[in-house]
Amino acid sequence: MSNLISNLTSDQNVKQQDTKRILAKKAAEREVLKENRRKERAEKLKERTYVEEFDRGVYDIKNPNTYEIMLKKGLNEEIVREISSIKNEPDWMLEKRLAALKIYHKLKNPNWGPDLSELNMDEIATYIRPKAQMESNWQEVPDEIRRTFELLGIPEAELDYLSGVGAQYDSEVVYHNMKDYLALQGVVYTDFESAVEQYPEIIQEYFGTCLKPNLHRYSALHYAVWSGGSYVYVPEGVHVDIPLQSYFRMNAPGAGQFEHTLIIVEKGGSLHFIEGCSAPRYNTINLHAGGVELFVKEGAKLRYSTIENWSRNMYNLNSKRAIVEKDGVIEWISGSFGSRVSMLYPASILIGEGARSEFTGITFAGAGQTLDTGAQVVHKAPHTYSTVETKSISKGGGKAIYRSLVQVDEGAYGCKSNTDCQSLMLDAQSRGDTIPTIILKNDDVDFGHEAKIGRIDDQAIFYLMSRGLSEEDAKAMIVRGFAEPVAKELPLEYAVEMNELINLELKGAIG
Amino acid sequence: MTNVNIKVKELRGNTLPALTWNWMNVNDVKIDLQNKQKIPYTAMQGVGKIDQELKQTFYDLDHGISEEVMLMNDEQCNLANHWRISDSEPIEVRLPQSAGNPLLVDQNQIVVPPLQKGTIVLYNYSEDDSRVERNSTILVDVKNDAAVNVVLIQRLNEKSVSNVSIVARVGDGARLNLATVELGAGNTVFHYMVDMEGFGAESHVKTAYLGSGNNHLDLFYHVRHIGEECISDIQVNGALMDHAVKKFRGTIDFVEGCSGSDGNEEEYTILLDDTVRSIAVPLLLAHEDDIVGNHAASAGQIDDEQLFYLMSRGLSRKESEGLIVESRMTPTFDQIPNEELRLDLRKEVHARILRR
Repeated sequence: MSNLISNLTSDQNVKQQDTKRILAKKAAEREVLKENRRKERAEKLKERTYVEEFDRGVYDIKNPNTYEIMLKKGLNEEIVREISSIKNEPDWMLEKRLAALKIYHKLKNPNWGPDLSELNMDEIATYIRPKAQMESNWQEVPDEIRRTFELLGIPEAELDYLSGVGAQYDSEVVYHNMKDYLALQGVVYTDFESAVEQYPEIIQEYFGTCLKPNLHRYSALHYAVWSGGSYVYVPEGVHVDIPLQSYFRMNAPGAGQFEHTLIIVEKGGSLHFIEGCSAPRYNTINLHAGGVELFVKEGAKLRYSTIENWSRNMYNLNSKRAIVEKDGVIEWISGSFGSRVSMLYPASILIGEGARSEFTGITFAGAGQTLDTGAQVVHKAPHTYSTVETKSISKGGGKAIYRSLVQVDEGAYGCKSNTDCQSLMLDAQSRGDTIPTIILKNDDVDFGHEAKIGRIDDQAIFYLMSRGLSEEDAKAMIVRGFAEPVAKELPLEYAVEMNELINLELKGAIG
Repeated sequence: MTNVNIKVKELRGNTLPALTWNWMNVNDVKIDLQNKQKIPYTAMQGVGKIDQELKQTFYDLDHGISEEVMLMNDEQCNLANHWRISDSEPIEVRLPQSAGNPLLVDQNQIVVPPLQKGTIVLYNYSEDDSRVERNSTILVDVKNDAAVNVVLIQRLNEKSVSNVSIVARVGDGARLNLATVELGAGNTVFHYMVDMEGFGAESHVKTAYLGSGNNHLDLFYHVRHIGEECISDIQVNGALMDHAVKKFRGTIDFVEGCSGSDGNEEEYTILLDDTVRSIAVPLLLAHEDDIVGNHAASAGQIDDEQLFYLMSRGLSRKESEGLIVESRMTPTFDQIPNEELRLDLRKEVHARILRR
């Protein structure tokens, strides 16, 4: 008996030793494999060099900080009242501002998304009036301000490709002009203050109805201290054949820009509106909390393009929202390149049957940037269609986050929605997250969502190199190709500008 | 019978690893565990002895559905199992619940030693139509070069509540295949979290579900790629009818250093009624560039052409629908070793669609 037991145990011992031997062998093999695979991967990824900061050329030109009025930093009722009285506003507007301020104080920073704790309203001046009057003659804009815009290519663009231009410098619009033939057709393109004065009924009817002050904390802030911005009215059946552009430039350090844009495109009308933003780099935090309200009526079409290149000290907490009626079309083109932190999710509310929304966006996050961008679509009516196509690129430790919502409501049958988001990461320090939400409340929907994240495809590089391109050129070409869907939606000169921005960003990142 | 001392206003759990807009109500989910008593479970005797050290290790890794639910699981535990899986016949564990066994609070440890392979099936079902609750934790430890198939089947009745948390760890060259079938319970909260720590570790998840009546399903997956060259996929297929609500919330997390990893998640929902709610939050979090991550979610009605084809072969509309839904679930059902059980599940899916 004892013999049997000892036999058994020795059997077990042999078995255990076998297992140990096999495991040790496997582990050794694995170490070799690991090393080999690491080498292979490292070869594929090749050494990269990084450029931390680079000269952004014309975007970084600073003007001396001269101004006519600069409200003291911080936010309270007194400051809000002061802004309103400087602007000589009607009482209803002041009431709206004060109501929004109350909402602002009640709301907290979101518990999701990028960290906003560094943003301190006590350090931000909410209103800065430049030393300039609003002009419609470019030559009368003060030299210094004019030079900045000229370097950014604004009036040139007006002469060649645009039917109207507005330019905002810090808190006030310094220039607004539109081609005469459009005015004759009843098109209105003006700064927002003039609109409040000249079209009080329309503004009172529409202001704050699409984008509500209680949407989030920074939308409330926007309504409390808004200043500047544009108002566009396109009458029934009028096609504005060449784009209108507003350009927002922030020069002062430690300031906020809170422009309000309201666009109404009446039945059957069409418009392409371009928004450009930039600011020189400072070491203090700047805040941009603009508000965009778009009303697209029956059968109307609006294309809203933004190329945003804020400097890396900017918190860009902008809110954009469009309400689209029957058979109307909203097209968003959105390029986010600048800012330290961005939270930007243009929303399309499709309330009429057959309404359509198309969103095309690109986000490029470099060192020190957290760009949390995306889109929201709410299908509220039957047979509404939406597409979302986004590209995110992150490098040098930048964080690019894609966040979205597609919601199909009860009774909104026969809807189609398609989302395609791709993220490209150029190095191991960077982050690329995708956070989409899909809510379907009826069964008659055709819904698709696809996302892809990762490195540049080796096979694509190999293919291009086999065609005679250097590895650097091949990679750069792939990134440009990646951005192509956005570039092709822009007017040529803006596409060129965007490509230049990408080249600037890519400098040193690849190769 | 003693009342367990747990004071929580409202239990919530399955919190997303990256939060998003609160108003959408997808960041977490309400947990409906009403039974706060400690009562015995009589349908099965515990197997093996719980390894406390292992339990702590996993507790440090992840809190399952939520810390409170884990705590309740600890205090109310009425069934404890510890399995060491070795190359042998599949283990099938039946966990029936009924008026006599209204509460099942089980702790399970599944340890797969190096080089071993095995299969374990946990089958939880209602025997009558009384309301029952389950709060379960399952720890899976897959050592180097081992492989395990874990199959979870849930068929509680519509009044009942099912809460299952799986926390797993996968070693070098090891593989975890998880198949889950959710066919019942008015309120289902499922939590899967895996740390793929080893080089070349793999996690493959297949889920099949059918939501009917007022069922509320919350399916939560969190797959973390930690080791190099890890491979993961999540495939969730199911159908919704009546007033059923389904939330799919899957995250593939590429942790810094998981170079060469590849992660995929795919979710497909068939919508059978216009009163259903289908919510999907497929997250990809990447802290590493040398990876490939994909996700795809789609939802819609049954393809007309497929229906037409089947109906042209003489099947009724409902028969055809049943067949199509069943076919989407087949890859998951195929993971079940017991053929009889497999057939049984197929039949139930079919019957429920026919009854519609």
